[in-house]
Amino acid sequence: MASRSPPVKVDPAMEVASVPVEALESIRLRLSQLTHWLNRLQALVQQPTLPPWQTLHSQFAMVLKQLSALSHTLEQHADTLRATNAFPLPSFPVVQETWLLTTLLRKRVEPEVDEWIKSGAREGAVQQQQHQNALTALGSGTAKPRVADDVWYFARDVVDNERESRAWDGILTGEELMSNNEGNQKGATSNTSSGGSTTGPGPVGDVEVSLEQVLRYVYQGVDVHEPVHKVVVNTSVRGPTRK
Amino acid sequence: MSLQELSLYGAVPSSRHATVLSTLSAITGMRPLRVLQHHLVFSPTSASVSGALHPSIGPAATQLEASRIDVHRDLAGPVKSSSSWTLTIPTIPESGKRNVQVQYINRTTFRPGDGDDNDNDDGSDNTGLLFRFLRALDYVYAYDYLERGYLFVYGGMVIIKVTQLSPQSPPQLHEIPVGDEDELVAANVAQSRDPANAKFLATWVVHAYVDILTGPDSTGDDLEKVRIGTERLEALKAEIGGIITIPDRGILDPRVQLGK
Repeated sequence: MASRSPPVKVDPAMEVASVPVEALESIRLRLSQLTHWLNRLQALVQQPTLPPWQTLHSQFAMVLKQLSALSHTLEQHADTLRATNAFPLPSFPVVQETWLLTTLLRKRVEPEVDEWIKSGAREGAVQQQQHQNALTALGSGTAKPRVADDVWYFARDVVDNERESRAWDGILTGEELMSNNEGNQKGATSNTSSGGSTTGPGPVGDVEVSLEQVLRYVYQGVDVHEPVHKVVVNTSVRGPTRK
Repeated sequence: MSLQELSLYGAVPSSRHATVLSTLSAITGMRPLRVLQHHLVFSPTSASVSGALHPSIGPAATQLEASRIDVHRDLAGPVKSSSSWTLTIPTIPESGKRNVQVQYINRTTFRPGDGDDNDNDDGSDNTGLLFRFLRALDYVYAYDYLERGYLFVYGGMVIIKVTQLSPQSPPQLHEIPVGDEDELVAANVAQSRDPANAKFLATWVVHAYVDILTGPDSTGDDLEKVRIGTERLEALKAEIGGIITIPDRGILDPRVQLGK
């Protein structure tokens, strides 16, 4: 976690002006907000039934916001903090509270934290490098940030899954249906006569029309071959236009 | 009579219609009945009059909308002119998400004319009479079509019609005074629609429907019948699968906008 400056005991004998109160106060504020939101998130996750992902997501977003505010504040006061030295006052009982003193004043981070910092720095450097490459490649200043490769792999998997779950063939265009029908008609006459259906001489229409088109004709008189764009309601008194 | 019609529709390309027919034969356990009908559609020209043909249907009784009228008769018999016309007035199907389409329709059959007012002695075609009757109600001929195919009965309640339609272009009319138009159209329409020469669409329409008597003639157990009818239709849909859909209700809207 971020290193924390020890709380300052206000001793009237000290020079108050040398203590960077403002910086410390603002950092303390940010940190307290962050811990508050982190605690809330932890409480949500530890509920007997997990709340919907939207709640968790919004909490997480708040935490991220707090984090960015904190890092912004730290950056703002970086110079001041760099020049700050924490030291115990003469009245501090050093001998009895050695362990406490060393704990409070320790600046070394835990190995785990150290690892995070290092990998973050590496990632940042890589991003910076990619950004530079993109800039030089494009030659202008409006390059988009590059997306990491594993995002592309993930996206490809998603697309493949979606594509497999849909049927892409078996659908014919109107022209294909027409040519199919003409091919079928030659076989159809033998079928109909063997099936004993109604009188042969009635020739069959040449283009397949949809159910909507037929029903629309029946109820409204709109020409059967008129495509169904959206719902066309024919409220005119006459039916198909008279020529 | 007022009917509530529960429907499911489907479309079958002509390449598969033999399969579908044999499947339906197997499901219903009967040989298909031949169907050959001639439909005429009339449009209203004035709202006030068309209201007279709409008995109150459901809660929207005060909303009398102008709908087209579909008149049809059977041509399957040996003599074309012996069958009588049946008049159907549909309304727009009910909205809402449901498994079957619900549409209220009104249907009545013209009894064969008593002949006293008719000049025709040989009991022939009363199409002219039909046209005059509808004209008196301010309905004009709009278009007509032939329907041929097969009919099955499933589960004692569901009627399945598998038919092809043959839309006809309206007859050519030259300068004719309005009074005679109907007679000429009637003559044209009745005679020139020869099923043997008509051009039918390649798509077969499957219409599975249950007609439930509602309104003043009903026996009071409409809801129960609707429930059973819906169940039967869904059972049919499960057996057939694949070809049944429910089209958008706007397509089946028979209403006419009467501008002033």
